[in-house]
Amino acid sequence: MLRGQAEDVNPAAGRPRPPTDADTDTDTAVDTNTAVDTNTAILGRLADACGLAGDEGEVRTILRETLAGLVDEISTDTMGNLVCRKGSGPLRVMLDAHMDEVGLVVSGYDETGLLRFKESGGLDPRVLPGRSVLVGPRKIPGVIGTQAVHLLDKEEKDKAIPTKELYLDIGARSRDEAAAAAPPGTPVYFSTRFERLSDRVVKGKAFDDRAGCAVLARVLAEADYPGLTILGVFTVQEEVGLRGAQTAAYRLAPDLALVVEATSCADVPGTQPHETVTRLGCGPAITLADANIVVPPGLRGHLRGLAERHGVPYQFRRLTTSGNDAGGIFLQRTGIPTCALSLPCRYLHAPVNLLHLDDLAGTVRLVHLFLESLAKGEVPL
Amino acid sequence: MDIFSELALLSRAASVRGRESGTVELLKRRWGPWLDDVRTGRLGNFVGLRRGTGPEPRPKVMAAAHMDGVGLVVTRVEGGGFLRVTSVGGIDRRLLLGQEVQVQGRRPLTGVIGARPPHLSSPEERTGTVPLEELYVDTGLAESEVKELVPPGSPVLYRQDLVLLRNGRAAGRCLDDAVGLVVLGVALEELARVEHQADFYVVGTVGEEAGRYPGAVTAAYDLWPQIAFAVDVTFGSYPGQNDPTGTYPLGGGPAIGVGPNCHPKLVALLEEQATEAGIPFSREVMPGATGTDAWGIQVVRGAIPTAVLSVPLRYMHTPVETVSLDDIASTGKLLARAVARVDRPAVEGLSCYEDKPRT
Amino acid sequence: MKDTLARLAAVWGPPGDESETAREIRALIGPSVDETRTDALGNLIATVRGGSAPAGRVVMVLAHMDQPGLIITEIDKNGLGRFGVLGCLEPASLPGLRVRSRNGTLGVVALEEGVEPKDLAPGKMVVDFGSAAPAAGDILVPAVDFAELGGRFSAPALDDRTGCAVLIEVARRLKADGEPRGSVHFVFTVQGAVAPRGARPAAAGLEPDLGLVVDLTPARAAGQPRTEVELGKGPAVRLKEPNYVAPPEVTDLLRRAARTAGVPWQTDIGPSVKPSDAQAVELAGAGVPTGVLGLPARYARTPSPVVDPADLEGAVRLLTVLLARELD
Repeated sequence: MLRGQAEDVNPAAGRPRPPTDADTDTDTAVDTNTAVDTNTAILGRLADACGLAGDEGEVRTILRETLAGLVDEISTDTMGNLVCRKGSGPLRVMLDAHMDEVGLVVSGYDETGLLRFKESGGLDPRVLPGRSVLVGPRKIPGVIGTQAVHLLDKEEKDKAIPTKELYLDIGARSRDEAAAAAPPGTPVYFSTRFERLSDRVVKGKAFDDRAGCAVLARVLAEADYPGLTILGVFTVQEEVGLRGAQTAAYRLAPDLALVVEATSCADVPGTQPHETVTRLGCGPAITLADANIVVPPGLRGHLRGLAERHGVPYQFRRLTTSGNDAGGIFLQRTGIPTCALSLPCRYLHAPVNLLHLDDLAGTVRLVHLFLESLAKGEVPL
Repeated sequence: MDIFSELALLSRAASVRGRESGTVELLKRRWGPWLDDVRTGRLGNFVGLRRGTGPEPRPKVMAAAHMDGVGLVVTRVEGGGFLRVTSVGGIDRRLLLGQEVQVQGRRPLTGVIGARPPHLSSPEERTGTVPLEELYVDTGLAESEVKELVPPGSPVLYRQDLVLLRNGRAAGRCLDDAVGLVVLGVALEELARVEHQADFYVVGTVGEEAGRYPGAVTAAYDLWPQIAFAVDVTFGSYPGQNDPTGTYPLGGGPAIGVGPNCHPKLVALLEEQATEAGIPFSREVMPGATGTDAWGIQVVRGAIPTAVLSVPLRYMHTPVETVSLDDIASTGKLLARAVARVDRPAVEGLSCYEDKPRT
Repeated sequence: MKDTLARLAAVWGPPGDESETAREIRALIGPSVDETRTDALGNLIATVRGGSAPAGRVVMVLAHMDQPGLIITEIDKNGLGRFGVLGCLEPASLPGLRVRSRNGTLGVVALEEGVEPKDLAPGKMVVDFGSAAPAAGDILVPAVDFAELGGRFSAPALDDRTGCAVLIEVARRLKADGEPRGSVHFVFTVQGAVAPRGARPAAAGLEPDLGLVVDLTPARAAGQPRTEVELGKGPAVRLKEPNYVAPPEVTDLLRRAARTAGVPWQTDIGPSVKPSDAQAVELAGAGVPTGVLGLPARYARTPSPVVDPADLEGAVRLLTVLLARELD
């Protein structure tokens, strides 16, 4: 594995880099000329944005603003997928990343003004108690508390609390006050702020799949491949069943598709090496097979070949369960050859995720290499 | 419309997936006066069209309620003329023992679900549920007669006529989703009194209880509407249920679905029309799959904006499902009002998302 | 049909990598049909264009051509392979199994030391290739030869090369005996050993009027029988699966064809080996009434399923009669 080689190489080096918002963004960039810091800026903005399945508006706005003028056409479909077209060549390739994150939804109240909620997307309920959250479009602060540890029975001290026994407290004192502030259906987001933990590692929420969105945004901004029509699709509702990807793929009918997702990274104490799924800092993870698709060996072999030839560190996604938008795309119409790259992300589907910037840059690079070789007619279809 | 008698007719005609033709015939007779065209889909859906008066091309609105209920089917005849059965859809196994049933063979037969008698069961067995493989249906007929009259696949349904309870409530079998069909009927009757621009397709779907919404998905593909409503039932409130926030009071009006399966503009339309008409309603928060035809319809082709309207119902999937007749009436009226408001600008507006500003 | 089945069972073709299988099937069915083609996902479609048909009657008959396998997800520092299972292979049937990759490299599946029987899972197993060097992404299938067990057949790939062999033989007999009424597409689908996948776009492309899936159905074996289906009692007309119910008109059609062909049949209510392609086909387009004809097999979720040639012959005769005479 070759570390530390890919991150400063801008695939568009030699061609004038189109200006991005990061160039004028003063509070994150250390060196505005490196791809890493632009990546960090976009990722940060996207990760701090809030959007659950069916509620992706804020993320859509940021992406629209980021890509305005950098792509040929931007449109939204009736499900809310954001489609950014660049180029108008004969080969249509769909790039996919989803905009929705996991979170909670207000579903009821008790008489004293506490809120009840349900989960949106798959969530480990053990991460909820003791959490501070943001409620609704106005981001009202709230907390999920539990009874004091002093009051617990012995058996309760080590038991996880089921979601339906938890309450969300926004400080309201009556059912009416709570319902007025947060009507049923109001989304509830984690309140984690994006931050750089070290030179190479960042933390934030929703890296699944804002990291994928960041990769797509960077690729679209820099892409210049005659012969290709690149359809950058930022999908909705992946977390509740790969929903937006299905209809986008049907409508756009691409010749092939590449999904950029975030995936589990469990290279932590208590797991066996083969249970890690991916390892942080070891590059984008190529999907072999997941719960919904076996990626054609030709396509995944080609991705691997590109990574090896160009010195991009890569790995394989070692899990064959769980899934992403690829499963929703490849069976549309009369079939669409589809592959997937995943960014290793520690503590996926929990409020605080960790990501390695080399993995982000490496994924951007590998997607560019893939598009370049597609444009040259090298990809086996 | 006499909602109780409509519901009684549909409850009696209801059967399991694959046997919806009785309901199809009934709907043709009952709804005929309000429809310009009727046909049957390839999988057996009932598809009725009431044309609108707007200029061509008119928007298409589809409303779906499923015709199949949950029940049992015969798998074979055993020595002695006893029928072995398997389930179709999510039946409640705890309720089967001792139930009087109707066997829909070459002619309808009455039977009872039996098992080994209690004094031959162990104490543990008596506190558990008898597994389906150990139950059988006893029609009292000789083996040769039963073999002649009951081929494998014959439906076996609870025998329960619709019962009128106090306060305008009714109880019976397969009200999931006979209730939804009555709602469609009420909506048709209301729409016959007003002008509506859009073409309105009422669809009785097949297979909702035992498949991946095959009826709804194929109907939506065929009709390709701009808007689709799924009309179904939801959990009516009563003590001791496991979901503290997901049940709705009988008499509280329809539950309007909220969540990714429910297009926000359709939700807004429904809530606005309910408020204007003074129809009480609840918001049913469904953060993921709704368990209704809308889940299948939404991802057909390039996406179809969908919404879910549900009537609260107690004791779902039992022979004594209980609803408020007023809720059926008000849900039907709400659906009619929403459909009447659909015109071309409304449909075009469905693809505009007012994206939220960054805070 | 034994030769066809033996030949098909020997082809390496797991989910996601069916091209060799498609090639072999194409060679076998080609002479009996008017055209063959593969679609974007690799489904093989062999078409007999209709003769004196009621106009537009199109039937799609399917069997999946992939077989269950294991996909290597990584090679650990000892050179042992970790894997995921593609398709329905019971974990208990894996330890000690010899497997082979596309290029013939052999390995053996082994259980980690100290694992209790109740904790048996693919995550606690490895594949040992000796000193050969496999790679992550390699897919392996059981390396067990086709065998005759006192007149019955056994091989790992019987799920669903058996169905494929039945389809090929039906095509042969239709060609020899007369024209079918209407067009028939014999479709050999991809990734069906795992779930209904390739069948969906295939059906979307063909828009048939009727779909018939031919797949294995578990037959009574030793111990507590979980099914009423038995080997040697004929093909099984399937009534339902967890997300599918057979339309009565299609089950009636299958039973009528059986009676006309003089073939005994059974009723199948599950459990099925996995969800069949039927639930994908019926959702295609404006809807396709679809049935499932089950081929009884013992030990269907192991590397050694066992089928009875009488059941296969029955299935072939039933389908041939159905396609040639029964459709009206």
